[in-house]
Amino acid sequence: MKILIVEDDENILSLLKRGFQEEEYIIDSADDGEDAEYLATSNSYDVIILDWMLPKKSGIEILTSIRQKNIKTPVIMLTARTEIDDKIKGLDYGADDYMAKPFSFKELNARVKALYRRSLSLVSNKIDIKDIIINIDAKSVTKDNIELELSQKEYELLLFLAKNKNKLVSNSMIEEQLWNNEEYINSNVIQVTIYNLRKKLGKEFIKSSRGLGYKIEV
Amino acid sequence: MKFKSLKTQVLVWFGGVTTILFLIFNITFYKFLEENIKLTIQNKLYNKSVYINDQLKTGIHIKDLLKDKKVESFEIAIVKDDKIIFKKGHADFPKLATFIKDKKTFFVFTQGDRQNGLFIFKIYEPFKGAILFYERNIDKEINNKLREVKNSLFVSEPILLLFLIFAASKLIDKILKPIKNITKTANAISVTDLSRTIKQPNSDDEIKQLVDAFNKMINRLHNEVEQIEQFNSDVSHELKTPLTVIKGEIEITLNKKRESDYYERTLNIIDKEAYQIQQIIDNLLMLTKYTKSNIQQTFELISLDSLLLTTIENYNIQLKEKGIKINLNILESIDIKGNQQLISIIFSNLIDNAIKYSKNNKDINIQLYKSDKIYFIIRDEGIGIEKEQLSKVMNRFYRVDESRNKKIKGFGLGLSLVKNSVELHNATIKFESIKDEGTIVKVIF
Repeated sequence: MKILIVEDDENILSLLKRGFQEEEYIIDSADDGEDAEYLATSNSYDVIILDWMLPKKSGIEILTSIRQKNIKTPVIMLTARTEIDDKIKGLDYGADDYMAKPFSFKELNARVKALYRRSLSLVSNKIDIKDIIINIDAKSVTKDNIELELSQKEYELLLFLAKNKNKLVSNSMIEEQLWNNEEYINSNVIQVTIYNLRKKLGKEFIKSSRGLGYKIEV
Repeated sequence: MKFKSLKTQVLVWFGGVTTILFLIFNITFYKFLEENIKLTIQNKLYNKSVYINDQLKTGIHIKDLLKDKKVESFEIAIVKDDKIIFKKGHADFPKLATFIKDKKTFFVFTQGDRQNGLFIFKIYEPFKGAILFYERNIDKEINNKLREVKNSLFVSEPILLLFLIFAASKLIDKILKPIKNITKTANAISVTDLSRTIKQPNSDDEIKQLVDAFNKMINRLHNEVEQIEQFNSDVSHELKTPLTVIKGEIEITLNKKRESDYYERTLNIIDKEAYQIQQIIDNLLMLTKYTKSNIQQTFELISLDSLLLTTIENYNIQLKEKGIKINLNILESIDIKGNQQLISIIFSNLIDNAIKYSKNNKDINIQLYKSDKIYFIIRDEGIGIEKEQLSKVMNRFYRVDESRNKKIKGFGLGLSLVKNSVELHNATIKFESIKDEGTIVKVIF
């Protein structure tokens, strides 16, 4: 799962990044409104955590702008404001959830997961494809009820392909989904990950069309 | 009896006073009318007496005279030695003796329900005696008129009084209507809803002034409450940020077993954030600690120049880091009576701001001198403040950047502490600033 964290307080941003990294999410972050808007509109995220008061552009402005561009990424607003009116305003402008500071990290994490599940239109936290079951909360994958050992990138790639089943997913889409803005990517790395996944899931599980990308067919 | 409503009070007073005035008027008018009638009767009777006298002088016998047509309608009695020796008509004279003994020639007496006049014509030669006479019905018309006036007054006046009270009641309602509106609005106003105002009446009178004053008061309250709300929201924001960090760090740290370095790092962060919270609370308490009434007791003789120099020394590290030079253009030796802690707050916050908002390698110029008053002037070449924000910089927690950009540290309490300290010393503070060119702050003691 790839998330964007927008928070101008460096201490809060730092702890959120550390916390979500330990959850093995792929994280982009911004500490002002303009950067946040740029990232949110040029990349695709599974969830955006958005602070209300930001330099240059407020959270509400960013929210308005991305919803106008028809970006439907779930957004969870983070703010020190606790007035009911503010909550309503945030939700009215297209936020999907709202957390008031000081919040519990565990609760925030649980809500981020819930939003993610909802965005996948999943009722449960499991995705079944053929003989493979992906458990999103536990981040585990089983084949014929035997748990498979997957690396973080392998898991994320499988999840991404599963989410887009029957659709062709290009290298650049994978790159954008699996790595954050600052990471350097070796051109081989996607190929290697696919190779490893096929070894664990079965050769025919992921189809490839040369030069165009990959897909899971059901 | 106590009347609660203003309207009832006014009506009772108004009705009472009007009734008394009517009564006084009636009595006076009636007396006057009565006098007038008496005089009229007296005149008429006198004219008759003159005629009788003239006739008698011609030597006519009194019995013949009585047959005269002009005297025919008279009720007459002739008295000799206090006894009636002749009587014509129904003449019935009460208190006859009194009339005769009295020197007056005209009396008024009541006959039945009417007033009547009696004329006494005294004859001395050759017949010693008196002729008493009055004219029957002479008074009838007049008496009727008197009764009519009496009746009409007693009927019309209560009607007039009722009408007046009715009109007064309507007038009072008209006057009280805006007051009722004020009451209604005042009842509807609460701290959570100060947006209401009272509708202005069309008139330009005392009620309008009252409504104006009331609306202005609501407006002032509205602003005050808004400021307090803003302040509360700011305080909670400032306190919630470090609390969020503390809570989050603890949760994440406890999530799994860590190296001891990690625990140390977390505890250091918590320590720093707790210190921030303490700073905010200390500053808030400082803002409310001194008032104009208790500040005088803390005043002592302070050397401003040495306090300024000590303060500047405290900023040596920050100055070196940014390569900023402080020029003391004028530094006079000045002693002043004041609170050392607060004056130090003024100096340190203004210097701190000048450093924070200056770019690297710029100069800060400071002047401290005495002419008519004591001037402390600090000029920086920093980012400056926009015009519309100049008036707000001293509000509590106000920071030029709404997001409270954390790249420049501070809570936004500094300048409100400065403002508070300046006011407690009866001094003034002025800001002049040009965006991107710098700011001049003048404190005048």
